Amino acid sequence: MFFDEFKSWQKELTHYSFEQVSQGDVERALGHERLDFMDFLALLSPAAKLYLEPMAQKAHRLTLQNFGKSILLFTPLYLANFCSNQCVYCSYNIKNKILRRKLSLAEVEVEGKAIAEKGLQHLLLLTGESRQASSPEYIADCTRILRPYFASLGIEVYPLETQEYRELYAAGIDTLTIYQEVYDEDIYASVHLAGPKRIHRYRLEAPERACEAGFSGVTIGALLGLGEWRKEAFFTGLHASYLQKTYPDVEIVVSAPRMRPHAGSYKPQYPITDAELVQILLAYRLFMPRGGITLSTRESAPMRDALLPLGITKLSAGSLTSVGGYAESTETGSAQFEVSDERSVEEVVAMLRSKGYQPVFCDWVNLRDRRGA
Amino acid sequence: MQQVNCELLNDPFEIGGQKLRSRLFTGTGKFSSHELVPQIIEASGTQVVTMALRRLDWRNPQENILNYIPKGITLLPNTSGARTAEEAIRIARLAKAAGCGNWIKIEVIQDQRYLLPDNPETLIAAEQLVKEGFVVLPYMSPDLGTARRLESVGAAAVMPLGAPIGSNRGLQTRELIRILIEEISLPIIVDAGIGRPSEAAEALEMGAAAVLVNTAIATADQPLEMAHAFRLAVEAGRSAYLAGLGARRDQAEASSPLTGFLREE
Amino acid sequence: MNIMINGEKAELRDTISLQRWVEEQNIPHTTVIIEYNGEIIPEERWGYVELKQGDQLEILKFVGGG
Repeated sequence: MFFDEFKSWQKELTHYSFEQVSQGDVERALGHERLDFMDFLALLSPAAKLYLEPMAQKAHRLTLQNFGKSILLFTPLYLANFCSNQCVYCSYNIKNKILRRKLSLAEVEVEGKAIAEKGLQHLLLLTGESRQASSPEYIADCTRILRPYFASLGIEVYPLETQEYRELYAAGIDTLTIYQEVYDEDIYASVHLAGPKRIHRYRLEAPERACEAGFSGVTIGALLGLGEWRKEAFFTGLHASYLQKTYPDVEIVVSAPRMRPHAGSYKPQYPITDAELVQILLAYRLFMPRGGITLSTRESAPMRDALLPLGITKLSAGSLTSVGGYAESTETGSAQFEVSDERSVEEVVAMLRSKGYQPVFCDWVNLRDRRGA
Repeated sequence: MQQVNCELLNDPFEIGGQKLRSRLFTGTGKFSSHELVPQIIEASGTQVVTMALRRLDWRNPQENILNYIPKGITLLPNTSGARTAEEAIRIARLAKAAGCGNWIKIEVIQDQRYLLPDNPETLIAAEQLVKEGFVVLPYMSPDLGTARRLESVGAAAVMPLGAPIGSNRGLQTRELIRILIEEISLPIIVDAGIGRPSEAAEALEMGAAAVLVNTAIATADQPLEMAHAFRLAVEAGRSAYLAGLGARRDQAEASSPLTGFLREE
Repeated sequence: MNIMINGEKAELRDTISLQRWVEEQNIPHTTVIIEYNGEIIPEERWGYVELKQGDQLEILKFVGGG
């Protein structure tokens, strides 16, 4: 159980601080071919700030070595934005008066077709965290409708039971994205005011349940801005490396989403500068040379272009965070956050090509019956 | 002079609930006489020795090797001669019945040319013998999938080969062993192939828990000196591992900066 | 009568216990293991085993090994 490891590192970190790390520690970590936890911690320390360029060079080299010059493209499709939680940082907060919508199955098909027409083969399905409005059965129905149009379908929804993950897997879902939001339990309690999401451990263990259920990939991350970023990034790395070790057949991916403007008044308590975001991404890459790293459209176009060579393996492209909206006919619901990189799929593809990268639309084919029968 | 951290020197490891100080296991084969065995044990500082089980030449019985192994040394009988899991299980049971304790080094070899271990049979034997209460140390080809399965069936350690038995060719399987050290939480004991003390030191530097050495000591011109040399090498390698090896420099810093965009902030 | 010992035929003059046979052969009994018809017989039971026509004995000992 990752929970036990999480608890013991939490204790460990009470008598060890990032401020104690020396430049020598950072240099040693940089020199190691395989990094241990203490090396990872060193790369997240204030001392490592002076080493961003050598870290970036090594991260770039490791990424090329392990992934080549290719980037997988995917796009999100919001199925619904009903939510039963009160997360202070999120537009979908139950208290927010926003336009709530849920796509009908017919609309799901129209949206799916519109996305598939752009050439995208990997689709991430999202819902607000309301079991009532977007039940596992509804998600499974959407999955079965979308299966024929896509090579890979992922979900980013409220945490489920192992059996429910199994059922979605059977319907045709193959990857899970679930962000812990914040690993620190006190902050977690303070930003999730009400709703089922309040149970920190249930969310923390969702990736393990999905791995048990047979999922082929899991993406995790902390929502940067909610907690002390060094700790949050450290726990994300611990979590990812635990999953890699325990489920060697599952592709583990980390993401470093920074908080974006949203409907509501909450401002990040620990805002992250660009340099800090870079440090986090580099530390992830050096600690897990073969792990995937996703970059979302929360970052601006120039920022995404600059971050690309540092270790990114997956990009979302042409993303909409509103419910529906890819097809002209669909009436949309309010967005979860503001997209910062508004380029179309073609523009992202052109950018990748101009930088010598190959845009990959499909790196996996789910060989189970595409009709989801 | 700076004081050496005592923790570095007092650094036992555990197998099957037993704490061991020495990270050098020694084999007792190929020595010119049984009388050498206790001296080798002393010179090497070893706490675990291996031996094999064979049919007795009952018309001409000779002294048993066990009579030459000092008390307090852990006996690690191997199942050499076994070509299948079934035979290995049988040999293990016989060794235990002989009062040899419950440690067993599983060695299943079908290939008689290179004497390379049979991983699938080894796994079957390991699973059964763990169920029967043995402390199981399987000799294996360094394969991550097999090592993971050995770990999950309850092996006490895994013993990957560095090179074919008796070849004295060193850590030919270095990369694969490094992966086992990284991925498997059991002690990794490099068995077979280590021909020189420097190779034993390297295995320990990499993070191997211990090494098993036989041929290199037994066939040296001066076996006792060689046993001592291995003892020192293993201690040096372990201390180096604990001390944390210095950084190896990457190539010189590339000319086009990747973080230049940050200065524009 | 004939029995098999370590895969070889051996002749015994008359019925004899395993214990007596081991002693007569001067086999150092503290460190051998005997399998009698496929079953390991602990030393304290050697006296109760009567060797008879067609029995199979495996007698093993420890030797040097790596």
